[in-house]
Amino acid sequence: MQEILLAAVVAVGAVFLGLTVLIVATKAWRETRDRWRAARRRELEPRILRWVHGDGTSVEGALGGVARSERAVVESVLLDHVQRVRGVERDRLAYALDELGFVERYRSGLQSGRWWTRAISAERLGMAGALRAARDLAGMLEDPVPEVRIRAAAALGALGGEAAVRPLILALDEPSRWSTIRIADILTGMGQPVLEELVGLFPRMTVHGKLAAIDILGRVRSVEVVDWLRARLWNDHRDVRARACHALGAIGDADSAPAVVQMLRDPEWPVRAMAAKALGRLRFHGAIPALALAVRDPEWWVRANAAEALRRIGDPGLVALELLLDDADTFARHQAVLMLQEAGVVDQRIEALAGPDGPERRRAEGLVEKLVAAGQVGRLRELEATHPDPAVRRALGVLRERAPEPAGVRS
Amino acid sequence: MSWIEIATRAVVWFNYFVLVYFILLNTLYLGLFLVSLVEIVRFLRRTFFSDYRQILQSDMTWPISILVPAHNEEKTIAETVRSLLMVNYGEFEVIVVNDGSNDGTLACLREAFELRRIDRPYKRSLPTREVRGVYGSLLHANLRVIDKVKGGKSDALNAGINLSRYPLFCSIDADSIIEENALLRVVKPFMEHPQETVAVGGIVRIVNGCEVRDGKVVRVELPDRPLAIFQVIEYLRAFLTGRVGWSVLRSLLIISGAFGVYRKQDVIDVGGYSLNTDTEDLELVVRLHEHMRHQKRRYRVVFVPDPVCWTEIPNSVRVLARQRNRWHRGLVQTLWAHRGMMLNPRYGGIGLFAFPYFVCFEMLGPFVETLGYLVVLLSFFLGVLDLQFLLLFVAAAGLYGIFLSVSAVLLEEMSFRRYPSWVDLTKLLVFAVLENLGYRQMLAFFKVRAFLDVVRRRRTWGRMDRTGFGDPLPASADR
Repeated sequence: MQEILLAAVVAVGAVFLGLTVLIVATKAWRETRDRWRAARRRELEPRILRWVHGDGTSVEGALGGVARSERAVVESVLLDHVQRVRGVERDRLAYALDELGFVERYRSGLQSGRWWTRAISAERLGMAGALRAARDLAGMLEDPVPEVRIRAAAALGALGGEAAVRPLILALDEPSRWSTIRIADILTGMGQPVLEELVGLFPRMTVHGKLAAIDILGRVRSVEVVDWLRARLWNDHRDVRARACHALGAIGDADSAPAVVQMLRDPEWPVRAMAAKALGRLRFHGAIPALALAVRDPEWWVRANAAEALRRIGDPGLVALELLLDDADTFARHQAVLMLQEAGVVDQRIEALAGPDGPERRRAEGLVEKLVAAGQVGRLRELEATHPDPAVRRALGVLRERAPEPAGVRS
Repeated sequence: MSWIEIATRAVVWFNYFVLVYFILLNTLYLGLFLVSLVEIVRFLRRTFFSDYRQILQSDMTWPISILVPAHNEEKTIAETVRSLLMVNYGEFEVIVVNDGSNDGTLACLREAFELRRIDRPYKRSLPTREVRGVYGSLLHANLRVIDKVKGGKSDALNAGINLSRYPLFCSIDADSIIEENALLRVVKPFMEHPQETVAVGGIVRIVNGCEVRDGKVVRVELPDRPLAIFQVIEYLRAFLTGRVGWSVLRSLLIISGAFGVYRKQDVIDVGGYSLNTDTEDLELVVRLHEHMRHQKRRYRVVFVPDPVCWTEIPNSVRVLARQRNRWHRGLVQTLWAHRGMMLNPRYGGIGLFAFPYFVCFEMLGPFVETLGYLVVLLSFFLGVLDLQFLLLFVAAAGLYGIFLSVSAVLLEEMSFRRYPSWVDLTKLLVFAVLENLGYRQMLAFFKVRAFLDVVRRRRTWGRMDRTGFGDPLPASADR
């Protein structure tokens, strides 16, 4: 037994020492390498940039040759700058990447057995603007690893290849939202051909893909797809209807508002909630009566979104909210109070309490009485304690005492 | 057979038991380390392709509510909230819950963020103690403060959940600071597996010793005090080799309360945070596992080693003892409350592997260790102490402990390298050795006391003496 323990002690001790040496050696090597690279970069970067801004033909000639050990430094300089510039400078940097053999290396990297090498190679081919690699990249759209497919598609997008559009749209079916966002970004940047393809491929997509497609259409904000989106308001799937409302709100086409108003009567609450939100973005005055009704909706989120929409519509919406203070529905009253507070109506109106007796003052008193009756007096109490004008403080105190708060009213 | 003979035989058998226990425990640790090593390498490769900027700018990224329960946090609360308002994330709201503080926490917030009272109705999905008021900020539209009657951290978090507007929420301690991109990184698993991910935890690091300016950690350094350095090593080991490993095995039971993100609806479905435990974070995660298994849902509880939350740790033995007492009490309470999961195949890896591990090694381990020391004494008095065996065993145990700690330092050096200076690296290696000579034994003692406190039904939260991020630590904090 003791021999075994002794062996264990020696083994663990040796592993400990080995680990310590490994940690120290790794750190020392990494820091030395980084320092050397930084020093070389300081020397090489100005020479590369001089070549980029000049008219010399060969970057290798301008640098007086690139030693094997310096290739990583030169590559990082070229890749850093190629992402930041446009026009001739970008073309020259891309040419330099090609001349120094990096483009060929990336192309062969696409055949690597390691997925991250394939992904990096695809990404860098896009950065290098390597048009001759377009076919290789199109082939990578069939790669089994999603990350590689996304990189390849993004690279094709950067090269201006329409070949990427269709595979990218179909990739929206992948359940990862992380991928969806990145694909949506690429597609949004591609413009008009994307819209047509999206609409065309829509029936073939899964629900997840459909929702992403509608979101993209909303982000592109093209009025050309408004009619198509309106038709989606009657889709069988509630999430499709809800996202269509959202997209129409994002596009901001006022003609769509009557159709969205109808969605406030949808049997599914997520659709009603999204319709209310969209109407707030559309600022459609004709929606005010329907939104005022929606503030009494049985679902909390519909009420909250409808009240918020009324506030966003502006003055006519605020008038509707004020009328809701008399509503029999407690929830509607509470939402109205919150929105009037957030719009600054309460703080603004009570200033008149210090003024002469007249319609303004009576309006202010009326509002305070309604707030008290609604049981939402938190802000009033604070103003009563902190308002800089003693006359306002006094008036608030009197009004609060005159109209006692109802007990136990909660939203 | 005489009493002496019986005692002698018992001691010998106990020695065998300890040896088997030691081998089992350390094999598990080694396994977890190897799993973590592979996962961290894989994680680093995947992180290279994260495109955080795109995700940050996209309006398709899920919005998130950040909940900050605060009780008597006047020293750090403004700095914490400021740092939270600066996080890189598209759409988010910060909800601070002032849980019946009797210091100047609320006043501090009112002054720093120009708060004003709002009458905000909200959906009461979870029962909580009375909410005295809700405040909005004139400076930050996405900041809300809830002032409520004291009900404890769980109650404060439940109130925050009620008031939150977004589908995900992140719980953060009021004495913690998160890095700019931390939220994006911790939300990533939700975006990658939207149907399955229920909760995600991020790594928590120690802010003591670091320089904090305007709510940001601008310079990372190890603390000066040995007690704090021991805790740095302990955190590295727990997070980089423990939680990463458990997460890969889909058996993660703990997401630190200092920094975790949850899907709100799932938390509401299980009834929110429990008021009956001292570690609401652990209990919630175990309950989520239980619920998901009952529902037969495919789900994931994930740990992400990269997102960083910086938190203040105890600088004195007294405060550390209180903190560890609470943690261990919470562990015992949670394991007892969910004892039906133990060795129950219905709960898969959680019931058959993680739960027994936590019961046998995390909960009872300190007993075995403490008992071991007592048995050494007993053996000495009985004259059956095999000194050579004892020394070799202690050496093996100590070296193994050192190996595990140094492994954690290695993982840190391979991956995130938050402590860049040579001085700090040397300190970490030296303290990885010293940790086994007193600190570990002290923690075992705290845990045994905590267990006894549970048996005696003694419950206190344990006050944490805050020093604040900006000021140098007072000398008295160390005593």
